Amino acid sequence: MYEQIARNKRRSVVLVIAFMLVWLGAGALIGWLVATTTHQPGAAAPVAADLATATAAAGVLALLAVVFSLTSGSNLVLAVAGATPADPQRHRRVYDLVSALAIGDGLPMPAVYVVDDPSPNAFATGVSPQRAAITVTTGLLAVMDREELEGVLGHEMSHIKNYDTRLLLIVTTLIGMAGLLASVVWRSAFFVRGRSREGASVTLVVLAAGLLLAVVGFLVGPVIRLAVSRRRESLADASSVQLTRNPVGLIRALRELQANDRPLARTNHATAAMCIDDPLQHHEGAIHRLFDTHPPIEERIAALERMAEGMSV
Amino acid sequence: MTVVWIVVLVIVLLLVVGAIWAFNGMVRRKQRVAEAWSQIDVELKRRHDLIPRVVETVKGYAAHERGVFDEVTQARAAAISAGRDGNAADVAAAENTLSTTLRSLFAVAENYPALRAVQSFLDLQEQLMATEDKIEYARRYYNGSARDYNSAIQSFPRVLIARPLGFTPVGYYAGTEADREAPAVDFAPPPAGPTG
Repeated sequence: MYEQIARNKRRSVVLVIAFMLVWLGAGALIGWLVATTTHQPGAAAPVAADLATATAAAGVLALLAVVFSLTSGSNLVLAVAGATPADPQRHRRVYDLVSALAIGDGLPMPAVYVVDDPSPNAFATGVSPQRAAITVTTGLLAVMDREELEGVLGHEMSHIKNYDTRLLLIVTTLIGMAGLLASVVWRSAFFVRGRSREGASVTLVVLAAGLLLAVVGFLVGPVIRLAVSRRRESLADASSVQLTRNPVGLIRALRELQANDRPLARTNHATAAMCIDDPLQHHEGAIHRLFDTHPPIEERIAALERMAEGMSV
Repeated sequence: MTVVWIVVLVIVLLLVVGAIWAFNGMVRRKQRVAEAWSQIDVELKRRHDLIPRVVETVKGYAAHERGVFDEVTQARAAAISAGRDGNAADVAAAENTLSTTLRSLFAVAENYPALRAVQSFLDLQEQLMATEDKIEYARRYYNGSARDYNSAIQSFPRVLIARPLGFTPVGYYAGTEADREAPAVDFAPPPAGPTG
C-alpha cells in the first residue's frame, strides 16, 4: 500500500516535469518556425531572440497550467461534472458515512458533492487527502442502502488515500491544456502563413501543427489509461473492504451498479477514470475493452468474493 | 592508533544517529495513537451528550419502564468516569456495557408505535447510530495505530531504548461483538483478460 502511494506521488512529479518539457519543446518549435518563416535567411540573431521569447512564453504558460491544475483542478473537475456541495441535512447519510470512513483511515473528512443524475455512480478528486472531495450521483443515493453506500464510499476514500486522485487530476487537467496547446499551434500556423511567402515553410508549419494535434488527440485516452491502470480499481475495491471489513456491501453495490447500467449524462475521459463504475459503458468487444478505464464488474465481484471467502474460513 | 579512534567515533556517531531515528519513529507513532484516541473520545462524548435526550424522549411515551432508564443512566455515568482515567481497556468495557443497555432501551422503544412515529426520536436514533458507526471506525483506527506503536517499541533494537525513554505499550480498545476479522486482502492483479 505504501509503495502504491509512493509510486503515485513519483508518477505525479514525473508527469509534471514531462508536461513542462513538452511545452518548452513546443514553444521552441513555434519560435523556430516563426523565425525561419518571417525573417530573411542568414540573420542569426533574430532567430535566437524569437526562439528565446517563444520558449519563455511557453514555460510561463506551462507553469501557470501546473499551478492552476494543482490549486483549482479539482474545482474544474467538479464543475465539469455539474457537482454541487451536498446539503448536510438532506444528505446526512452520505455525510455521516464519509466522516466515519475518514476517521477509519485517519484522514481529514473530504468535502461531499452531489450530481443530479439518475445514473448511479461516484467519483473522488483532489490534489491531496487534505483537499479532497467525494461526489455521488442522486441515482446512486436512490438505489443504494447504507451498507452498499459504505462500500462505494470506501472505494472512493481509498482513491484519495492512495493519491490516485492527485495523479489523475494532474493527468486530466494537464492533458486538457495540452489539447489547448495543439490548437494554439494550429492557429499560429495560419498566422505564419498570412505573413510568409515561402510555401515550403508554411507546409512544414501546418504539418507540424497537424501532427501535434493528432498525437494529443490520439493520446488522451491511452495516456489516462496508462497512468490509471485498471488494476488500481481492483486495488481500491480491496482497500475499501479492508476499511469497512465488509466485502458483502461492496459486492452488492457492484451488482446494483451492473443492474443499473446506464451512461452518465455529463462525462468525458477526464472524469470517467475517477468513477466507481465506467460511466462511458463500452464493454463490448476486444477493441473496446482495450480502451476501458475499468475492469469488467464481474471480475471485480469475483475478486471480492474470493476475499469474502478468505474472511469466513 | 588514530585509525582505531576514527572507527570508534564513526560507530558511536552511527549509534547516535540510529537512536535519534528510532526515537523519532516512536514519537511519531505515539502521536498517532494519541490522535486516534482523541478521535474516539470526541465521538464517545457526542454519544454521552445524545443519550439523555434519547432517554427523555422515550420517557415521555414509556414512563413506567424505569428499570431500563436507570440502567442506561448508570452505565452512562460509569462510562464517563472511566473516560476520565483514559485507560483504553476500562473505557472500552464501560462503553460496551453502555452499548448493551442502549440496545435494550431501543428494544423497549420498539414496543411503542407512537414513539416510533415521532420525528425527533427518529432523528436522535439516526444520530446515535451514526455516532456509533464513527466510534467503530475510530476504534479500528486506534487499534491499528496502537498495534503499530506497540510492535515498534517491542522490536529490536528499539526495545533497548524504548523503556528507558518512557515508551510503554498502550492498551487496545476491544469491540462489543467478536471483532470482525480483518480480511485477507488480495492485492494480486486479477486474472488477465483476453486483452490484458
